[in-house]
Amino acid sequence: MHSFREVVDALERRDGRLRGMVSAGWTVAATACLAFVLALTFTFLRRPLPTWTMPLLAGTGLLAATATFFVGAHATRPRSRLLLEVDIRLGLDARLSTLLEIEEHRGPKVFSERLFRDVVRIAPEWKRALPIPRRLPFLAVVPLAVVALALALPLFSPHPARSDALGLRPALSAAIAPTALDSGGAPEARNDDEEVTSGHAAAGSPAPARSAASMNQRTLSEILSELRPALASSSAAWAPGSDAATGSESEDAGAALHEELERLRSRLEADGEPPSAKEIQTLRDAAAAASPGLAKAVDEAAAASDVEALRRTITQLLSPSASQGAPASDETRSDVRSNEEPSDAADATAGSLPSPSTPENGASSGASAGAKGETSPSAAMPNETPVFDEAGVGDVAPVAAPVVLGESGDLSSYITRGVPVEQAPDTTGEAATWTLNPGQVKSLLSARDLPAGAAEIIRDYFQRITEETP
Amino acid sequence: MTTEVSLTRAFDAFSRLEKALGEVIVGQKDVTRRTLIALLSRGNVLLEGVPGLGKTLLVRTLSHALGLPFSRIQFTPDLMPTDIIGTNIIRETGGDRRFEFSRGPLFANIVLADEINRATPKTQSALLEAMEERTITVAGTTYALAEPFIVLATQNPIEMEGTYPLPEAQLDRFMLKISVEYPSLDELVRITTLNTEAADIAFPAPVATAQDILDARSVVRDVPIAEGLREYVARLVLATHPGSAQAPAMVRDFVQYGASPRAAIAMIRAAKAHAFLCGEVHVRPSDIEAVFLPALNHRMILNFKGEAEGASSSTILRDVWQKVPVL
Repeated sequence: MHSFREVVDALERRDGRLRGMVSAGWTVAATACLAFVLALTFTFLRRPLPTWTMPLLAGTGLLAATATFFVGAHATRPRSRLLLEVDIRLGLDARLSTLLEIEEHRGPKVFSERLFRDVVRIAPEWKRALPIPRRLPFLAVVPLAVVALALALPLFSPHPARSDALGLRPALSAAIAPTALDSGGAPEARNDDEEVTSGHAAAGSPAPARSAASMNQRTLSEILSELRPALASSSAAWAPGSDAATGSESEDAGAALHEELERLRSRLEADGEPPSAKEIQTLRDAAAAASPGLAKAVDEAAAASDVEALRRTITQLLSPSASQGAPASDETRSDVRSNEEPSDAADATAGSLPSPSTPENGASSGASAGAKGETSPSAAMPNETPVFDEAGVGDVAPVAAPVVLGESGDLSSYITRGVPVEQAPDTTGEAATWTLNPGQVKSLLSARDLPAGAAEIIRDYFQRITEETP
Repeated sequence: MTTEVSLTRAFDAFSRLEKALGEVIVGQKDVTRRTLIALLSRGNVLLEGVPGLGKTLLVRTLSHALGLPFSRIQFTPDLMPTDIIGTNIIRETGGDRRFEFSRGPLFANIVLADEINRATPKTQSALLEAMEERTITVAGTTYALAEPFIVLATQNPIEMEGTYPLPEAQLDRFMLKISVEYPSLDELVRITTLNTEAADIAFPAPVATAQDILDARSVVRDVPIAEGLREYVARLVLATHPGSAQAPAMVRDFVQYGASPRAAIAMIRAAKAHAFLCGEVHVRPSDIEAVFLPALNHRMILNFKGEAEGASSSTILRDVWQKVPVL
């Protein structure tokens, strides 16, 4: 009987451990679910999950699991029920639980001896009678599955913060990221406003002297073409949400500009009064975004106070071809990809503005917006079209998403951050102007072990995208 | 305290008894065993079945096999309580007249109350004290009945005309209600052979004594039952109550009153006896299953809906058995 008591004690301890494991399993499962919900929430909010969240959850879950293990292991459970469970599992017909009953109530020894003999005969392995609970493996699988889901979630996330998971980063770091890192100083410390400003910098910097002869467009196209597969696959992965955001903001800006131009044209047609300086500036910006030629025409018409010429320019800007901007951009990209007929593609985008959003072009512009980040610079180069023309100011603005340079961010942010420009000290906000910083360019180029000829190409690239932006 | 010797002797005695009954009673093994269960656990039995199935024969055979006094009371509507328990009569001896108690047929070890539902409730209730307390009180004097004492009552389930259904209080006094089923073809052939060729029924010689029965009862009381199984029995009984959380839908729909605590006691006692008769020294879940229906069947009171829809207690109890797990 003494051995029976010992074995019952052992069974009780084992049962306690198993129940502790089950409790801990539930805790881990709950923690994993919490992690999943958090990841899901942040994904839908399109905000990056704070880096400390998962370690904190893991630590908390571990502590809680340990605590619940000990609580579960030491929670009292009637021995009679435990042994009855063992009886049922082993087909012992309540012999063990009856043995316990006899022992606790000092029943007749004749019964206990016979029962113990029966137990040993029927189930020699009764001492190891408590198998792993059926739900325990399940509880182990659930957390793993949930954690795997939580980790896999960013793959479906529209947020570009996980671009490295998509294989984009190696390509970027080879061609763009190093430059960006150098130019950014401490890019991680940049805030959203800086990123927006950076985007404006590309679009708003004054055009320095152009050196088209020194630009090796073909080689640059090749470099960008190398990036394109990675960009295409990555944009396919996180384009939808990104498209929605970037495209939407771009459309908003385009719509506002469109509306403003419509209003200006109507007024010019109505009263023939010359536009105000502010209106001229708006018109000039819009024209510059479309084509340098139009910008020049606006300047000349404004200088001559030629209302009719201004009205024609506006009409040209608002012409139906404007609505072809997005498809033209796609065409441009495909042209650049094949490196054929670059000027034709450029013509398709020149002289047009982002049109107001319509169900049809909204979708297409959304799609193009999703690809803008990856294609804008490259699309511009072979066509001698401003790098950010097709995206425009509104295209750069979405880069304001909170990203960390080198690890996340829209492609345009990589490129625009890599632009070694500086803001003119007497300009701010919308009127900010930007100039190429030759010293920074030199610093960037010297900091990298670039192949022969590549430094010149990159310098030309920076110079070109800076001068092409109005 | 039960010892190996007492255990073996009790086993042997009841093995002989069961064998002796089996030699006279053709088939009806369940009926025989349940009767012995009641005998071992100090209970009374209500035998229900159509006439001619051997109910009286069973009781008579039992009395012969035990060598104990047996009395048969045919219950009729005009039967009075004093007819069964006895009465004080004036006896004159040597010029001295005094009341003397004349014992009724209830003063026997084995009493067959044949067609008990034909007597009035007043007469039926005269059995209550004897069945539960094993005593009879007449004119302020209580007489103890000899042990072992067992009442085996019979009732006919089809002839309900002019009958008085047993009140719930009296039904509860019966430990088991045993349905005597019709014999099979082979059994019927054997019955006809035994009863048409032999001059008379050859009742067995006594194979056990009253003391053997009492010793065996002591052994059966000692048969251990696990705490978990006690809980199981309690849950089963509670599940027969429509207001209980464990009650299945059928109970809630068709039952007015469920089994009493006496039913739980009866189940555990009967389960112990069943285990003993099976040669086991502890109560198993299968023992509880074996006595579940006989112990509870007559303790369920159906409501109007249950009666109207023809629900039977046994159907409801089978549902309870299915729905209440051991653990």
